[in-house]
Amino acid sequence: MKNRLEELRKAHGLRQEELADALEVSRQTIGSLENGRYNPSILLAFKIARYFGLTIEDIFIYEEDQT
Amino acid sequence: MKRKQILFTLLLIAGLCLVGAALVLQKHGVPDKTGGMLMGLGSGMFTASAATLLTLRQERKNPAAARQNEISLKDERNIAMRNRAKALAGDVLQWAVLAAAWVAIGLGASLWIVLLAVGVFVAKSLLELYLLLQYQKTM
Repeated sequence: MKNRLEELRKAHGLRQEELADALEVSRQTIGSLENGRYNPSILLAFKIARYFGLTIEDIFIYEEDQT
Repeated sequence: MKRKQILFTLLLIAGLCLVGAALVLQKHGVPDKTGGMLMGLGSGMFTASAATLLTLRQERKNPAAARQNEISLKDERNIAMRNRAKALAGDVLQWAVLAAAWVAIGLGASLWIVLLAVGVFVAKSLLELYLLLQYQKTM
């Protein structure tokens, strides 16, 4: 699953630490989400979407051929 | 926070009392095994409580670090990694116990050692099955 987290974070002028603090997750989690190593739970996905005022689909891109 | 501090202070005192009791009772002819058990339990309680009290003290002094610790503890990726590590470690340990039973047979160890190791293997398998069934009902 791809996502636009890094792009959105940078567009909002936020550092990983600041976004992590706002979402109440660790900075490492933000880093892992951004480079696609970790897929968030549905709760965290909603939290991220609400934070940016977008929908989950606006941020996370599901790829059909992924296992 | 206050309740936690009271609880761990009480546990620390209880740990010290158990260590003290172990020392006193050993002088009065109580078997070494009993003294050793009391000492083990007491020192364990004392050490764990002291460590927790020190952490609580540090968190009181530095609320920002305390919040970071809490976030780190509740972070879903950290929880997922911890759970995966625990599950894998449990699996490895289970097979290691079975391997130990096999080695024990080869070394001609007492039957109770072999049975104990196999019992641990079976108990872990049964517990795993029970938990799996419970999770199937609730998840």
